[in-house]
Amino acid sequence: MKQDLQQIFSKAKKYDRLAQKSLFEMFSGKMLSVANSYINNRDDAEDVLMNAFYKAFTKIDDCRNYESFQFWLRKIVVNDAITFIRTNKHILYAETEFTDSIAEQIDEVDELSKDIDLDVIFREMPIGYKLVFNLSVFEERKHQDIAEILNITEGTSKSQLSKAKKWLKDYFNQQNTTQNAESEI
Amino acid sequence: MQNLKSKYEQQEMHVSDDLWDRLEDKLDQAGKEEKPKIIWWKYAAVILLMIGLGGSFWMINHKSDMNENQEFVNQTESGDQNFDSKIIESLLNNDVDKLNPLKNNSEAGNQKLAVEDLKDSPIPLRIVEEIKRENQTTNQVTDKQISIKKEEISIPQPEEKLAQSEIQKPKERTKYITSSDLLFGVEMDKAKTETPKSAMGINISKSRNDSDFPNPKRIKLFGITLYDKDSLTTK
Repeated sequence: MKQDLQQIFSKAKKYDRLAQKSLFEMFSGKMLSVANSYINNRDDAEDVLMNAFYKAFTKIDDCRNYESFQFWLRKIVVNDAITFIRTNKHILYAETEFTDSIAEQIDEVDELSKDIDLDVIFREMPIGYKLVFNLSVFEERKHQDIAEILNITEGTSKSQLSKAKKWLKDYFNQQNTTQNAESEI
Repeated sequence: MQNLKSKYEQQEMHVSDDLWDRLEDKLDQAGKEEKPKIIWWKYAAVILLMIGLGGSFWMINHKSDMNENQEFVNQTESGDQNFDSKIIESLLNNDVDKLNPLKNNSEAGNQKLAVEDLKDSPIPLRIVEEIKRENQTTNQVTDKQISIKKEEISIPQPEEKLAQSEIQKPKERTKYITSSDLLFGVEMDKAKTETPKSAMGINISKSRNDSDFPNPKRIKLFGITLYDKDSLTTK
């Protein structure tokens, strides 16, 4: 698999169309889900994905190693998706300070994470929370990086993440209560 | 959170079938757009190189031509001077020879005669002196002719140039805008062509000629003579 990827990558560096197609087939499914996790619209996510692949193939010389191609491509997809959201949607971040009480809430959400459906996060979570949540949890970015990417302060990034987790906790508590009520009836 | 992360990483979506075709078209278009640019740049670079080389060659040749011309000019100037002097000398010699065909002969002959006469004639020295004087006068005449010819060769060039410049540049009369034209904004050409200046109403006062004004001999009003030229003149 690694040798195949290496050969394909080296051919793609020479702008070989078949190699490009094979790279597209290898990573397009995963990258589409990543783009969709931010945009929550399949068509828009596909447009973003296509542009991200176009950038990757035209600037493939910037990627030196075949092993890092996937992460490099993913970075392009995430950045393009965030750019798409920022240009098409107005996001307001409420400035709140990160406190210890919020940190406790995060620990409580970690226990619930087994039952959380990802589609719920992508579909229902407010966009401001979702961007910080995705970058922090799924892309494993530090708050400093998130602050730079989203052009916000580090404190805002932390507070947005805590709020996102609180929102998840509340959402699932609400779901559980409704389910219990329905079962009682 | 690790559970969420692992779920997220496992998740994949099916891409629509035409997405690769769209991407391929975009890549093809980008390739087509880029290739002509590269070719254009190549052609432009070649043309610029050719122009640069041609210009440099031309400059080099031009400089060498200029140097050659300057050298030629210097040579010709010096050569002309030599040539002129030679010509003059040859001409003068010929002229002198032509003018004084008798000179050499006469000199030799006269010397002989003088020598012979010294022996025989009673007044030999006079004749010799006269002959010498004649020769001197002829030499003086030839020297004068040489000086005149030199002057004739050198003088006429500036005169010709002046004559040509006078012929080529005829003096043009300067046209000035009058104050009335500036005040009333009348176009110069129209004013000149269509309406004479007298029709505009305001003009510069012309120099009064006696012929323009009536010059009556006598003015009468109600039978009384107010003005009589004859009487004034007679008085």
